[in-house]
Amino acid sequence: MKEASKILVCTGTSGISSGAEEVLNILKTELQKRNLLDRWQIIKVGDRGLFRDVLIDIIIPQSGKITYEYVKPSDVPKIVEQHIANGAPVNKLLAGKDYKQFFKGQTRIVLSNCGEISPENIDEYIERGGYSSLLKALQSNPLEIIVEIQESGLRGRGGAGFNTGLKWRFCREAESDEKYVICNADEGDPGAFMDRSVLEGDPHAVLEGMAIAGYAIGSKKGYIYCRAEYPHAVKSLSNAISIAKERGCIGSNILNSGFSFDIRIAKGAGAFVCGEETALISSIEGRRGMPRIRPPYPANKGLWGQPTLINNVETLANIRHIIKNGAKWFAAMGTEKSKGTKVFALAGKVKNTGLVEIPMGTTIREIIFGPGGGQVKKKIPLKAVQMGGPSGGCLPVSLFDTPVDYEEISKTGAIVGSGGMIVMDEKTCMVDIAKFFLRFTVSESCGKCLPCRVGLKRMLEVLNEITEGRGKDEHIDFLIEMCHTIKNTSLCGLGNTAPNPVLSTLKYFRDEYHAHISQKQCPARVCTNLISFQVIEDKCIKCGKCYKACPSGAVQWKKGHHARISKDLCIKCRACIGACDDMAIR
Amino acid sequence: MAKITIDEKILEPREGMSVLEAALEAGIYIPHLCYHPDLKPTGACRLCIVEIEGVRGYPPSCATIVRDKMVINTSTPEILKMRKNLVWLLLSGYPQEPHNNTLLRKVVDYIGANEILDEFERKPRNLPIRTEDPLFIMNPNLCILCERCVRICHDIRGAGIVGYASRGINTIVTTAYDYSFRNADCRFCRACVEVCPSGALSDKEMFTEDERDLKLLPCKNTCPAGIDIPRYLRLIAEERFQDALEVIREKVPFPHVLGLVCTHPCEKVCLRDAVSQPIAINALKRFVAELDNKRWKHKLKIAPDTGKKIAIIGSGPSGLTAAWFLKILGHSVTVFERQSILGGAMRLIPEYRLSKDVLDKEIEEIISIGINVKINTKIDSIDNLFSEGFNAVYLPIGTTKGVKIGIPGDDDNRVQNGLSVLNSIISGKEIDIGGDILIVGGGNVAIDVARSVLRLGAKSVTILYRRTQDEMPANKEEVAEALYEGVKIEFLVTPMKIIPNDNKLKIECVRMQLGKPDAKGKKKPIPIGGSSFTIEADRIVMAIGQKPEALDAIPTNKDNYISVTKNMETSRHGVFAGGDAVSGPLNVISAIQAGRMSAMAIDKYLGGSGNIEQQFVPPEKDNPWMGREEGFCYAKRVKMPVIDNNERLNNFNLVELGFDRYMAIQESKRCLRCQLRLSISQTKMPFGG
Repeated sequence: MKEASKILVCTGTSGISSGAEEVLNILKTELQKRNLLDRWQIIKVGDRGLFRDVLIDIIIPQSGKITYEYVKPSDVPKIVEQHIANGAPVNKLLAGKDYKQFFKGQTRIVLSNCGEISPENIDEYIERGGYSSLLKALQSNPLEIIVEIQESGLRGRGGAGFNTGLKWRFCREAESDEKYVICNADEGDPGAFMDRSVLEGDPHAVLEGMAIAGYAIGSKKGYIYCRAEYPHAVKSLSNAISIAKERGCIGSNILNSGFSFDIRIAKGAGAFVCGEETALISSIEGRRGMPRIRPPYPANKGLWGQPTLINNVETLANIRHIIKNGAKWFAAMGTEKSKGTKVFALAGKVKNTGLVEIPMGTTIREIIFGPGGGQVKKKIPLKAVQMGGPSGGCLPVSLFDTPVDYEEISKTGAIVGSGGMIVMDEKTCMVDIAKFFLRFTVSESCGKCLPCRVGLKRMLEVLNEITEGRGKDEHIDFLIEMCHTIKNTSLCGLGNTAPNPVLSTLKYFRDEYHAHISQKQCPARVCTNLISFQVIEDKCIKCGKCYKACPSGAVQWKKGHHARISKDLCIKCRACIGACDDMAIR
Repeated sequence: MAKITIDEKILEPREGMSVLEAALEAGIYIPHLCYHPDLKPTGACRLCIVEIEGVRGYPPSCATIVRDKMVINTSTPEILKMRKNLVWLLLSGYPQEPHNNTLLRKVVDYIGANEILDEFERKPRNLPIRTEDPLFIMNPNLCILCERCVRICHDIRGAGIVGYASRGINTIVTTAYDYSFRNADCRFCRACVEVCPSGALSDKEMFTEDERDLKLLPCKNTCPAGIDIPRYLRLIAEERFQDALEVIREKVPFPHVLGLVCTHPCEKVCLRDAVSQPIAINALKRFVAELDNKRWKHKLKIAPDTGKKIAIIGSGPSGLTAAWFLKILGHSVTVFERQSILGGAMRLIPEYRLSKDVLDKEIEEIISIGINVKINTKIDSIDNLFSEGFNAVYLPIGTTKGVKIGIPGDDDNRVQNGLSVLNSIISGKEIDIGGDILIVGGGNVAIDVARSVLRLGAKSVTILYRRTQDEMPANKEEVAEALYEGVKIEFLVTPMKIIPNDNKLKIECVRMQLGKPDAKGKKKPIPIGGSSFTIEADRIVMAIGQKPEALDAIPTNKDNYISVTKNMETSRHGVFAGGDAVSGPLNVISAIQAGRMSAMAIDKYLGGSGNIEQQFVPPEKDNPWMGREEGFCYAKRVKMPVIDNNERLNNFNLVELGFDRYMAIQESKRCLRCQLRLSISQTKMPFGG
């Protein structure tokens, strides 16, 4: 039988929000018009983690895969007419150099299936080796599996980086008839979406990881705690669960082994703190999502008071690969203490933003200038990278050669965390960034313990004073003192780490704070109250970009002349500053 | 046993204790706000942080279980500084200095705040204060979110009425949907108020430490005899009816009589009244008394004979109660009664309120434990009693003499005294009481006469009372029943003159108005000039008061009342007195308490311990779990079923029919169980306070 030609359309959340569904519909109509539907198979796949708006692959057997990027609905008839009907690729729409560079530097293990297979079709997953690890696991002793995971050196990808095998061992050793496996899919760090991409694009990998974990620790029941803001992930998961049950890959008597493992989805209501394991458990139990004191740890007393294993999506997605290829294979990647690969959500002022999976030990610079493709604007140098989201910190360019390794990154004041990586250039104000993350933690603090509830708020108020031009020297001392108290006395990880963005900016970018406080200036021109909206003639290159950007007619400019800004007309919208690549407005 | 070191002091705490508990027990104070000895630790306030060698960070001592060889430091400079910072944070959102006498205030004073930000202005939350509910006020601005109220309501009471809403800095303790507590099915047990360390939850009525028991558990502490009301209500709710009865019997030998006639001061102070209506405590007492299977008799222990003899003059509730307790203590007791029948003033209570059978039965039960009785015996000389070998005498002689009004015409034979009318009715004497009857007075005797003569065929019954209904000393319920049955009451009227005619009595009356309250707070009635009017009646019954009969043996005041010391002893050694003859006419339960007090005093006088406490039902831990009940606050008092009005005339059948089992259980479950609050542990205060 002749293998059908395929068209892959990336329809994960990123794809859909860029218009993939419209593209898909037009694609179908166009194929139908030409009576090509029976010869071409359209497959909806997950996202590849790259922001390229709509991505389409045309796969013709023997002639390989051709990828289109930035596909707009209006492009579809052309692609169908030229390429699909007549075999001539539309060259100007093909994915370019950057697309290739993005993937070149990556080692895709966790993301290997994302955007490549249909998450709705279990057979595609099985064809690519899916569920073979579960079968292999079910034929071995649970303790051997735990040893294998332990020896692989896999550490929790959710943020804390605890040895996964050890966690499994604790759960295995906790005595109880009833144990639970929870997949923590409450991905909450702003900008991080690796879990979502896996859940949408490769849901069976998570189910398989959970089933193996269940078998290893002696649990029959699993929950996936997924935030309700991920409707496509929830849909993809529930679909995968029912198909996997039908096929006997989960449910009762899995693959005729006698082992049963049932998986349910628990939807979270979007509280960041519910990513904290004890708060997550509370939430599943139907109570307010607030952390409780540990010990006892969930491994001993978790869901409904029973031993509970909680692993993050990315961690679980690694399991099948370790079982399949062995601990040694996994441990061969990475550094001494951090093994395997890690997915980062690369964002900010780099050419290619998206999910980057690289071996542990890769340096920050290699990520930014490899898959990331380097800075966006040549004239504006990079300044920092924020790692680890609201719990992480900002590192200066001088630390860009730090390898991605739990311990190495922690030493700098940032954390690997769940893999957020935001690249910033000179136009980013570090005080403002600290304020941004603090505002996030203030609104996401559950309110249980005093230091986190009140302390963060008081810090945010002081940062506001500073960015609005009322800063005082003693504010710095206050911030340091508060950071210290909150870090040391908060009840859970949210509070313990919430001061990190402030601490790390104070450590590496103290001069920016001083500029705000003493000179009442924002070097990055972000804090509106500290900008006088004047053109620095020495720096102005008379390009007129500010003039074009100004919505209120406040900028006066003529070709060959410096721009001038009229105070009366200026509405302080900062459009001119955004347009100026020469930092010529202050 | 684990050995630990706290601040260089070596301790051997019990297994499972937290570091905080071990420290507190050893007298090492670690400041804390959210920890409470009755509650699971939550670790919210972070004040009790400590340093433990080999442990990362600063664990909260409240939630850290002791392990062998732990070395703990509670107040390193670092910890002290962070605690001060935390206190500063706590107060940074506080509207004022914390209230005096709160735990919060004491802890804040103990730690001291670190003023880490110059010119900082506090940022109070300005949330609305909730005053719409009964019994307590909630001021969320004072709340420090220690979660104590939430935990006790959820984990200990099982009610789950208060919880957190919103999050972060906006977190607030409230009810679901911000309903009023009443609508949220609050049990009003006020455990939340008890554990609140900041005064965010506070009782509406303030009280001093001395008043605490009375204000928090008013029923038990108002009952003259101190009957453990909350305990028997709980036992009824648990359908342990004999246990409930025995709890009553621990204090009084007349449960059934009381169940019918007690003036139940307990119900007047019942806090449930603030929520909906007071618990029908007395009706519940009657209910269990009716179910008496006499199990208590097997539990009753009578002490061996002490060889002491006691004479009791009068067989009213006080005399018989004293006789009962003194006999149980092993004394030989003789009750002297000049009438032919025991019971004293209880005998005057009409049968539609207190059936003869019930009274007879309870008196018989008391006598049957071995009390000597001499009826038809009038005692003239106390000296003789002592020479006959009695070691002590008790005089519960009651107030048996009617007070005369002293107006012209009151010597007509158609003008009768209330007490003698009641006496005649009891003894079954033929009395001519048809026609229009006028009764003067506002006490229970007036009402008893009115309702009795109505039953005996009076054409009309009118009561004249010189004050208003609010001032009437008679039971409110009795007055209501009398009015319902057709008795007319003329308020603010007093008779001035009786003009005997051949067929009718003409009574000249004057209308009154209330003047200023006197020293006792009673408003004095003042005649209104020119308001006189005349009424006609066939008979007049004077029920304006009563007093003891004159007694030669003991000094009395001019109204024949006996005065006693606080030990119930008269001016004569070995002679005790109590009941109406000392206090003035009161009620059965007060007389019973006088009997109890006298029994204690006499026993002590005779060399005993004075302890009359009996225990029929062993003490047990009250289960603090109340659960949630929909509509709890709106549950109305179970209505006492009564016989129809048209079935009341021409007979003296009991008007009130009593509760059935279902009603009794329903009613007892309405109890707020105020007693639970008193068993909540107290938190250790700093400064050894």
